[in-house]
Amino acid sequence: MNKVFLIGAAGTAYGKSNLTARDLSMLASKHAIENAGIKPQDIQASFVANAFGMAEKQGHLGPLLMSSLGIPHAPSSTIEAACCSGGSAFREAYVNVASGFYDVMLITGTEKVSHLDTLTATTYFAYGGDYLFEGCSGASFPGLYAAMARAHMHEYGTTEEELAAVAVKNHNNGMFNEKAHLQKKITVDDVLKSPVVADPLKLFDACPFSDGAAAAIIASEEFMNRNGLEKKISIKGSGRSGGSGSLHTREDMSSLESTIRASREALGQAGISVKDLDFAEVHDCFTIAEIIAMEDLGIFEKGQASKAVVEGRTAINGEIPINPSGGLKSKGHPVGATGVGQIVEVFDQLTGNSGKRQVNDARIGLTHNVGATGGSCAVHIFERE
Amino acid sequence: MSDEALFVNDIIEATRDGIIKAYQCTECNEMGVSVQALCKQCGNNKLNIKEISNVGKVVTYTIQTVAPDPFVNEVPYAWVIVELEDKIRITGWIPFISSKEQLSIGQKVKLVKSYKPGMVFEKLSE
Repeated sequence: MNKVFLIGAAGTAYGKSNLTARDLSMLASKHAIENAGIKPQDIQASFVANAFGMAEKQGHLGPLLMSSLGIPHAPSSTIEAACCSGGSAFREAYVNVASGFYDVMLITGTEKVSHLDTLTATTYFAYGGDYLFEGCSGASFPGLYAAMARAHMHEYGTTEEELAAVAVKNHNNGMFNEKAHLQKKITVDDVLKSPVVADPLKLFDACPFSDGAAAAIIASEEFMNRNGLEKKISIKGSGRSGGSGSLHTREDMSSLESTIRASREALGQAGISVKDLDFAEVHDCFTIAEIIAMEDLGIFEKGQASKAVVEGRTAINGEIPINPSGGLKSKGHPVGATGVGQIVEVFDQLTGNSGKRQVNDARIGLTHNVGATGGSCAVHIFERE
Repeated sequence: MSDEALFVNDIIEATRDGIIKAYQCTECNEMGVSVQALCKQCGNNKLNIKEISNVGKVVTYTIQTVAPDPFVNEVPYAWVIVELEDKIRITGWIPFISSKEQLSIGQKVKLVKSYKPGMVFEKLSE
């Protein structure tokens, strides 16, 4: 496989937007093209990550986006893997460039959900799981993670206070991210007293429904050399795994097998261990998800991650900063954009452009993106050149 | 159809009468209650469809206080994952459970019917 570089990445603010998913995707892509320092005509093909396009009565977004960027001839398809759409689209683009088929690809994730009422949005999110069996037996999307949380608490003695510490930490980080959806400092008590959504998860254990878009551009070494472009960040590993799309059929309810497989694949390609990471952006759709992610990635032993959060070991100035962007919890979760947005954070961190949330001397960063309850997982590792 | 695959409606329609249909591999005897065409264990393409016990134990659960579309008027209730006596895991719900204290991991339950169109379990005494 050929060496592939991350040459540009940019995102819109996450939150409630008056723009359409189409507008948002255009804006993020424009900014990514600008900071990559290439011409739009250099882009040979694109993947769009979008989960709920039909909620805006718009499928087939790719060609519309390409036209808006002035490159209607460039082929573009939508990749949908629920909340892992962004990471999956990035992976597929990586495969295309690493194999030598294309030199330059654009990956754009976008989502617009704020025009939906809470019930409709809740129902759409439930569609990402095994809806006919789990959703139709009454599980909301938070309900699925609540069931995992209860299993984790039962198995390892994890407490609701420890889960709350994840939310507090991510909100602290999000305070330094001007593009974050929820820029608000919260306390453990705020989390514990927020309304219960699906016991033991409360409103403040959950990420918000956000609008937003994020875009990334990757290129081959040959293209970089031919155009005399500075190589800033290389992609060291790309891991992707499926897992049972039905939570209820799994042996272990407190672990995502797809995270374990995807991360081992990516780490293996990079030839590093998790100890070499300077920070990670992990998929914290709920507080319990960040705990499970850190354990499945191998950053902490099973049952130990929540203690590490409470001890501050995952804060921006801790031994392994987790979600310096604020994560899905504070930065927001525009479903299709999320996985690409994690890569935008890595781009900013590795180019030293993260302002007050800058991780000191960040050299290697990892992104971890999950679809639904782990039916899909994508893990990528990036290194500053 | 019985040796072809286990389809969504085969499973859901049987649960209306409290019956659970499973597939069983004709080669390795692997069983499961899931939409299935090929055996998960050995890849065999011949599956028998059979009725299995509708009694099991709660593996994990949540109390839903905010629900998706068909369940809005049912809250609060428990959504459960159940391990049946044949060690197969399925999902369902238990109406009128409003607090976590009313249920526990390991609680014995039985499938009684389906409704809207989820699988309804009830608590059994040990």
